[in-house]
Amino acid sequence: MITLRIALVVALQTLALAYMIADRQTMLNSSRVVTLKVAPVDPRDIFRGDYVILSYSISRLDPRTLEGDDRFTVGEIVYVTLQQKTGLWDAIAVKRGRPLLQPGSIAMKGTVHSADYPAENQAQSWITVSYGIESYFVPEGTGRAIEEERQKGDLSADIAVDPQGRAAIKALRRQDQVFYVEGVF
Amino acid sequence: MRPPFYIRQLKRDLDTWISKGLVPEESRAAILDSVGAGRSGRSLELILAIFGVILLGLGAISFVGANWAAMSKFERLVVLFGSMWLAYAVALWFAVGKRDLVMQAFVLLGVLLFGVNIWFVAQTYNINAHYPDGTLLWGLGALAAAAIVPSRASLATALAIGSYWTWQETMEFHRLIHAPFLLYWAACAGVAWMLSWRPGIHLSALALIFWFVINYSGLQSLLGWSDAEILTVYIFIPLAIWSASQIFEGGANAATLTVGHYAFFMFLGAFSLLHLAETGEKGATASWLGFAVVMSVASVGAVLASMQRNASTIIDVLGTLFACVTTTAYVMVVRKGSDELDVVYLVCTLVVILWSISRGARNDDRFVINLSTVAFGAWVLYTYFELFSGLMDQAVFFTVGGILLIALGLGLETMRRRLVAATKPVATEGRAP
Repeated sequence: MITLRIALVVALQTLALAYMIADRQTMLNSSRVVTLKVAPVDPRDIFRGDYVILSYSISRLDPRTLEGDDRFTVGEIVYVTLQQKTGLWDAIAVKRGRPLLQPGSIAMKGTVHSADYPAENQAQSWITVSYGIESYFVPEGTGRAIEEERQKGDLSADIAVDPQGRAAIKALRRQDQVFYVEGVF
Repeated sequence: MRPPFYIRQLKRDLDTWISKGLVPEESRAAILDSVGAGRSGRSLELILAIFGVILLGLGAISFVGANWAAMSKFERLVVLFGSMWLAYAVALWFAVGKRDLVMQAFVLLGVLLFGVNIWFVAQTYNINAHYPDGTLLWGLGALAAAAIVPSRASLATALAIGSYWTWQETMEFHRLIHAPFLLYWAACAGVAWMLSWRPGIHLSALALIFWFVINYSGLQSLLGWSDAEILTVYIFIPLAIWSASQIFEGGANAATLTVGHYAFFMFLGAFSLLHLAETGEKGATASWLGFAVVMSVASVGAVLASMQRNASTIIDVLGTLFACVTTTAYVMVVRKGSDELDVVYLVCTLVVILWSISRGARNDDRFVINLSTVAFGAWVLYTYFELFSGLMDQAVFFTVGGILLIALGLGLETMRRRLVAATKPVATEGRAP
């Protein structure tokens, strides 16, 4: 009996981990991919090796210049509508609820990370939104090289977006050439 | 679920009974074994095994961390899944060999490695959207192990992880009220109950108190109440729970007793702090007043119900009513920034402390007596150092207070003796000469 019980726990925990990987691969296999300009910095995690922090043009938004809602609170879930402009994608709207998309648009789900605090009845001048694609682990020693690419303004990222608006980094590009691709193994 | 103090007392009593010939000496070991005594050697084995497991876990994490960059994704997955499976395989091996305690330790190692694996898989595949979900997944894995194996250490781990999860959601992601934790908590408390594990019930109570405390700001934002009004939530609800716990049988091992103790701890702490919280500028809000009335009725109703079972007396009805009325009146009368009624409130706090001591003494409840005594000490120190600016004021306050307390004590003792004397003939009726 105890054999079965422990086996059941192992199976459940293994399934949970396998689901994490499978879910990520499903997202990466999505046909909805946007390319965003990135600006990484390179803090070092002494425990886990290198990772780069990525900031995008859609990370800091001015709701006054975009369609959708004007005021948001920290921690709120928002949907940012993206449209392609000269190869790269940029925000055209930010809303609390899921937007009705025009052809050629993609909505990405994010969380308001910080916001200015405007006076009553005034629109916010900026909000920062995180999409779960702000950090990217890379092999030890390559973080510095990626940061140098950032300094040159040559870095962009292919982001896969699933139908729910969740985003995942699919690949990193240097001067439009893919140099890092996410895979299962 | 026999507490250590009960076992210590039982050992002393057994020695006395054996010396008086009331219990045969050969029954001593069997009696102690029936209440789970004499297992300190097994506990030591478990503690050492758990310490060893923690060191093993740290070693595994450090090893993976040290070699992480050099590994391919496939190699990482082999190490991560392999280490977790190995831990459970060793647990299984000890289970087959009937070494239950060591088996428990390796189940705990498996649970810890499951958590490590979540973070390393997330790192490997760059999964970093809403990281509290990873914490929740880990907690659910620990809870599953606790319920299925079953494993007490995993339950303790699940409660600790769950508390960290609700902390992340509340403090880092600014959830107003993190209600999903209550479901998680209920599942953990249910498993603690199912396992009949007293420390698990204690940990569950602590986790719930932790959730209550960190949701203070969220409650305030949601209800729009003043600081004092919100603090009364931590007075009224625990008071109602403490009162309700008296309705049930309060044996030394009853879970309701434990729940009641934690509720009393929260009630007395919040009640003592109420005068430090800011009240509203325009008095109490209507919604709060409704809440205060409903909770007061619930508390007094519970005490009245417990009177039917002889667990409370009219003194407890009056004490509960006094606590409710004092709390309500303070919030209604005192305006923001005013400290004119602080002295009156402190006197009321002393009354509530004395009532608590009296209730603890009547119910032979050491926890309530001890906590009330500590509260009395804190009350004296606060009053001495914070309340009065002049030594003369202090002298008058303490002298009058001291005389009143001594007079009260003497009066109550006289009353008790008269009552005992009045009941003696009835009590001795029918006894053998």
